[in-house]
Amino acid sequence: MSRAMQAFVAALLWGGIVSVAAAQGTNTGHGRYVPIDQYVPPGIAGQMALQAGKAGPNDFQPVRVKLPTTGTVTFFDGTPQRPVELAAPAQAGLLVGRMYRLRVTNLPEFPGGEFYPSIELVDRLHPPPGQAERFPVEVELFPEEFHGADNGRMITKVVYLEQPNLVQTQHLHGEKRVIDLAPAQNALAEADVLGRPIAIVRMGGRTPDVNAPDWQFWGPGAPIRLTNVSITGPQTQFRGSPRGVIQPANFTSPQR
Amino acid sequence: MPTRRTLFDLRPSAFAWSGLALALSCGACASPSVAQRADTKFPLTTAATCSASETGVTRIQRQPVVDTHPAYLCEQYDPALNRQSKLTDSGIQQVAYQNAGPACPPEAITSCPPEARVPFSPVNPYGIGMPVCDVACQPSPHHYPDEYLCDGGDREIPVHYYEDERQGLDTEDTVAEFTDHKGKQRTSKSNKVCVYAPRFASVRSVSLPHEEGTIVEVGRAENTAGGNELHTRLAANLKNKNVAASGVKMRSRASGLDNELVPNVAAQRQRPHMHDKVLNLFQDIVSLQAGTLDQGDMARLGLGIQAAHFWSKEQYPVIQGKAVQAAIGQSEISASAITVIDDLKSDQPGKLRIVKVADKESAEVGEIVTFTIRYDNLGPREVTSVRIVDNLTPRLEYVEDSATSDRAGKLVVQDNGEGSLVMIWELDDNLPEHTGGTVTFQARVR
Repeated sequence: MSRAMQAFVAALLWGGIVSVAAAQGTNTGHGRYVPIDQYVPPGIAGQMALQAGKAGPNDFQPVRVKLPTTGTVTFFDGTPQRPVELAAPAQAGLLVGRMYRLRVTNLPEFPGGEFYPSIELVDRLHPPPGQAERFPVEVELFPEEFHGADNGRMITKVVYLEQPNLVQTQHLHGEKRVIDLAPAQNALAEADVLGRPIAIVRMGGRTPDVNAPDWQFWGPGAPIRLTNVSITGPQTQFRGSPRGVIQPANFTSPQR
Repeated sequence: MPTRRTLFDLRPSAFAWSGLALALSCGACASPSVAQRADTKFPLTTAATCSASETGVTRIQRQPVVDTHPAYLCEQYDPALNRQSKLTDSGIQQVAYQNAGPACPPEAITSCPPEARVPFSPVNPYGIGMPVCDVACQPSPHHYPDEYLCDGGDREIPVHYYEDERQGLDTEDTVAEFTDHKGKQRTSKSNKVCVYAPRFASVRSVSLPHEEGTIVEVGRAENTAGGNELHTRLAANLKNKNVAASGVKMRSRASGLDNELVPNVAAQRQRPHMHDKVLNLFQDIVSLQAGTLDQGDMARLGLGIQAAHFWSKEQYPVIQGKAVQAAIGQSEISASAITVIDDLKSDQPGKLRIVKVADKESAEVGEIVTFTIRYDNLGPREVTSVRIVDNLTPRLEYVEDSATSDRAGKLVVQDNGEGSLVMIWELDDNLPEHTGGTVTFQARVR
């Protein structure tokens, strides 16, 4: 192959790479470039965060899941065969970079309904020593999101840590702190403009088949960490489960 | 019952109150103590009164403090339980308590095991293997400012005056404005105080999965067209004839010839007409040059005496020498200390130091944080028209009637246009030199 041909092929390859990257990445206009969007497969953004050094592979980040009123949030400790049911608002420690599948049931607004959102942490907090459980990452699921999932919609949320100086003025008086985007917009880039993306939450209308577990749906699984946390809310008690749910008496304070 | 507080107990509040302690240590010499001054409270009057005034200025009255909440409960060491028991306001003493962390007796402060949660060498963006540690090996607002709620200092554009109008007062800014004895307006910024209070929001998009799949199929068709374009470009490349193009290039020779001219002027060296006689080498001794006999020349003199003795030993000369050593007298006169008493005041202007602290190091949404601002005049002259200006950050909501001051004055509350308030304490009296005061207020984290 002649030198001119080699240069031409190299230019084609480079152009292809740039075109693929440009198709997914977004320049936020603030000197930052977000190479992926919220539609990447679950787990990709988390693995990229681990490779970027945002957290260690064994860093548990407490996450608190809030529901509109009441309900049951089920975490799965490693495999779908080890569910841990907690009353909302439920809090558990999750590993950064792993995809966790949750189950939300007993919603009074949806009798008999089951929802399976997923949470993928892409960053962590750095609270003062001993304050990690007091300041978890708060993931709040709103009623319209359950309605959308119930109607077959796919809801993709990027939970971000607010930059104190960039707080929206309409979010200062107890309003719902969520901003709707068009499907074509890069939610990760928009969240990066307003703050620091912490988690990607996905929820759709799909219900797994209990007779044929889909491992692509459940993901590889990852351990969770439970602590005795007193959450101010209507229901903070652990609930038992006929499938052998771990009771709170088995848990102790984490080794610090 | 005596209470004991260990260094670990003091740690959460020590950082927050260290600045105030520094201010007290200086201002206590010429001013009453903070405990004496903070015994009055200046509540803001009602909103109806505020609206009645067009300027928004409200007169505040001196009232005694209603309640004072300690930031932390006192802790007492119980030797029977080998732990620290908390004393609550209700008088109920805990008898069963499970330590969440390692045991740390109060007398073993230096040997207490470190917090294992903070890794010594985690992955961090500053360098592989370098710990993400502050001075105390703890995460700090310097590293993660978005997790903290900060107030104080002078953020972004510094506060300045343009045609007697204050500019550059951003949110979070806390400054003291005053006028010195020459009538010049001056400002002093406070320190920045940070409270750990992360808050979350989200952006979301709603889509239909099957519609998204249709768009992906169309995109694949475009990629196929791109492959055809590849063949086209290859054919176009084969038609290029680079050889013919290179044959057009020509290199021309240089048309000019550089000629170096021989210089016509020959330089002529002139010989020196004068010759200065210098001392020979053997004469280069100090006694010849300076006229004094140096100790270093004694060896040469001895050698010369020995040579002369050898050359004239048959004549048996007698050599006599006399060495006269001059006595050296030295006296030193030092001036005694001169004390000058200047009873005139220095012409340096007054200087305000302003320190801001908070009573909490972390706060959840809805909690109330008490901020204390201590100001002191460190200069030799009194200052006038003192105003303490605090532009609250949007996530801090001022608690009505919570502002206090130990000096008489007015409290002006203005809207800062970014969802929060600007609080201005205007002191009625001048602030003499080496005196100070304290203002406090409460804000709710939102």
